[in-house]
Amino acid sequence: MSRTVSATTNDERAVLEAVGLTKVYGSTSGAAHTALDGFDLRIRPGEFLGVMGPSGSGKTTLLNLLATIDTPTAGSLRIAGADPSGMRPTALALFRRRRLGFVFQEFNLLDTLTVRENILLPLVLDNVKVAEMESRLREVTERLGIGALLERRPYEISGGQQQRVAIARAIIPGPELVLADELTGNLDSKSALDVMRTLQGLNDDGVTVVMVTHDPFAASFCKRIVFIKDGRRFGELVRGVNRQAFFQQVLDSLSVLGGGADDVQAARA
Amino acid sequence: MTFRQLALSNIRGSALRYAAFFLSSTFSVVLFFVYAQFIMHPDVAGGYVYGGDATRVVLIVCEVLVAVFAFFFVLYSSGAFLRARNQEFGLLALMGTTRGQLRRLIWLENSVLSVGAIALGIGLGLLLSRLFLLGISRVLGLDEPIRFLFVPNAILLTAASFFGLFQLVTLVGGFRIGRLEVVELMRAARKPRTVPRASALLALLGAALVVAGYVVALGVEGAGVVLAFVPVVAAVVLGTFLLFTHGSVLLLRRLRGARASYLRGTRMLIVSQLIFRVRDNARLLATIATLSAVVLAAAGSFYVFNRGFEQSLEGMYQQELAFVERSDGRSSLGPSEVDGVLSRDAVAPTVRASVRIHELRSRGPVAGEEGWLVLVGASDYAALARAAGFAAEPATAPATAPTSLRLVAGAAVLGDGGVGASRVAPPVTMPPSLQGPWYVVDDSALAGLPTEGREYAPARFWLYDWPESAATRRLEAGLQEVVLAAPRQDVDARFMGVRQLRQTLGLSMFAGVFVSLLFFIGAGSLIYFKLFTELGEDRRLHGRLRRLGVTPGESARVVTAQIAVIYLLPFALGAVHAGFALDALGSLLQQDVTRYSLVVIGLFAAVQGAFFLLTRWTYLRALRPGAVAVRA
Repeated sequence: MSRTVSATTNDERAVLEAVGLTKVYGSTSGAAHTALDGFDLRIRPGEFLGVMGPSGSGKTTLLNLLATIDTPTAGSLRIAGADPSGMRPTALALFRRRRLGFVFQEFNLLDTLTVRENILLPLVLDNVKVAEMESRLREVTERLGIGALLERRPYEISGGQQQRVAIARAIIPGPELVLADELTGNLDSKSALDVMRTLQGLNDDGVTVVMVTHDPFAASFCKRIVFIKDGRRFGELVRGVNRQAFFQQVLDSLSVLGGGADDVQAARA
Repeated sequence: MTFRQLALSNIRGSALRYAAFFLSSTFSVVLFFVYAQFIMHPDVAGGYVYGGDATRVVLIVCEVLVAVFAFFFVLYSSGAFLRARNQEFGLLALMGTTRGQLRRLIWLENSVLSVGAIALGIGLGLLLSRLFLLGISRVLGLDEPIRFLFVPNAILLTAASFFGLFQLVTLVGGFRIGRLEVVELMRAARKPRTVPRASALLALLGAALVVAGYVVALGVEGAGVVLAFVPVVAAVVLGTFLLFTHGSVLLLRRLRGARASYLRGTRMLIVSQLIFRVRDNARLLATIATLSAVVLAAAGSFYVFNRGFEQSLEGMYQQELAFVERSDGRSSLGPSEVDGVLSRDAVAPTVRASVRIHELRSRGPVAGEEGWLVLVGASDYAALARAAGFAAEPATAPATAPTSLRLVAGAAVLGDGGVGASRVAPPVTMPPSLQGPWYVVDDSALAGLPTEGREYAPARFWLYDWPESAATRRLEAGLQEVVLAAPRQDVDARFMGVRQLRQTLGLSMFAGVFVSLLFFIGAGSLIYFKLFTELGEDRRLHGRLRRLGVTPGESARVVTAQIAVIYLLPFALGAVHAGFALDALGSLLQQDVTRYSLVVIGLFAAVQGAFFLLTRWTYLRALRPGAVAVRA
């Protein structure tokens, strides 16, 4: 599904490369707050990276910067060989539409569209031929097991199904990178497992995923986890073979991080 | 902190949210007040209104319509305002605010807001009527049609009825809030929208009713128009409602079904959004279509009547200006004064001709036939005819007209031998003093004209004509001074006649323009406020779309299409309705009114187009994300 990364400018291939990424809020009012402080990140094709940290650690800021809907105060960012900071709003929107995929906690499906139309939205906006759209739709929906839902509307299907529809919409243009924000936050545990397995399956097929989460269970599906605290990088875990053991490692790291355990409660409540 | 302080600080705290409700309330107060002040104005209530009682009835009907309109407007915006705050009320209830307290909170807030809206509305209304009066007298070039006055009764009526209205609306709203469960209040903001249903049968019925109305309107002649009026209007109004509630959804569904054209670019977003928008607003849109039709038809009829008057008047004035230049010491207008004004304003006359005239007493061969006549020489008259562009030979001279006259001291005796003379009626603008019969005699006959015993020395009759142009208005203002200084019976000018007519029709003209404008602006503002109640929802939607990579241009296209349909669709349908109504008026008057209808509809279309552009501009600005990273 994922396009092979053609823009291999560096010695080693990287889908995403962030150097010294910094974001300062509210500097004009005097009460400046540094949400992100010199953050470095490098993501290779085919990775499944988790970003974890307590509330206010800068996770969302980081994700907004990676999603190109916010601009860094300092530092550089290259995604799929391109530098979003130099792009005009329209070019940036097209970049998001074609090169990035998004999955959100609130699903962000449009109630006015059917499931089919929601999934096709990025292709329709790009005026892809109907036959081509249909074939890509078939491929994606079969893979995600939502082929039977196409004529339903988002509010008629379950949360887990909605999230899979959102994933389908994210991957249908064939993006270099899928960004997921707390995607299990609104799901019960069974649906969360379903969705995470789906995401893992996509990653196995070569889709590169970055996922921000509070949830150690969801995080245990990642191949690598970067911890963030007070806007700085705090550590990193790489998964071995066993997911159960990785889950335990994640929990241990969170308790070291502090405040994490409370957040876990909050996230599952 | 007392409860009253809470209510007040609530208003201060979320000023922006209250602003929309406050402004729309103020607007309806302005609308009602300005109209009430007009109706109760002593010059209108006791003065001369063209058309008399009929016009007065129409004015009162309009007042009732304004009241109903204002009532629904306030009810509507108050409902939208309270709904938008459901979550806030839910939160207050969650924290243990009792229902009674909640109702009191709403009541206190609304009372403060309504008193403010009434005061501001009346103030603005006074300002606006002053400006409007100034504006219309400037535009029409008249004295102010009515004086600017404070009308205490209108102020009282407005204040009392709106205070009552707000209290009533508050009670209804408070009751509704009080009945809802806390959970329902908290959740209300996130209700999914179900797919609108539409009946093909009702849509067809709607179309059939409208078409039937049109066919009858086209077909009826003369007195039938009056008979058909009520049933046709009823059928078309009902049909309009059905078309908007069912036909629109059906049509959009068809568009959605055409996959190849639907799944292209922003069309999918536009059409799918519209299905919900149009259905949600169907009744409002149908009301506005009807309102537009009424306003357009009324303004159109008014314009037709007025133009009719002016045209029949213009028929009486073949040339712009005619006057007598005297040389016997009596005061008179001279060509040099007129030429001076013309050259000052750089207007070249198309006709500038004169003829030497003799005003004589006329006596018939039989005693008792006495009066005045105008005598001109044949070659002089022919020259005048050439210059003014009419035939010198009378087309049909009355058979009984005398063919000869005898010149005596200071008079002419008709039909008693003497020189041959032919009676003519030159088709030109004629001052009152020359409106007696004209006789043309051979040039040589004038040589023997006795000079003794004449009341008027030979004089010159002048004719001027010039093309209508941008400069004409200024020219007329300049001429007015010199013309009014001359003896009244020796001058006539087209612009004086038109001016006199306008002054007479001024009040009705004022009422017509005023009422149409008021209604039209009312309808436009209603859509405007309605759109802005959906702003929050649109903000969320476009925030999401932006994250998904929808470009700013594509977002703007979706919004533009939405606003365009909501503004222009009801107007377009209303304009078609009005077109048929005016056609029926045409057959009643046996007159072709197409041109007038097009002028009026075009004018209002321009206003509506401006409204649309303004709304689009402000709406797109409001949609622009304040902070770049908005969590969807």
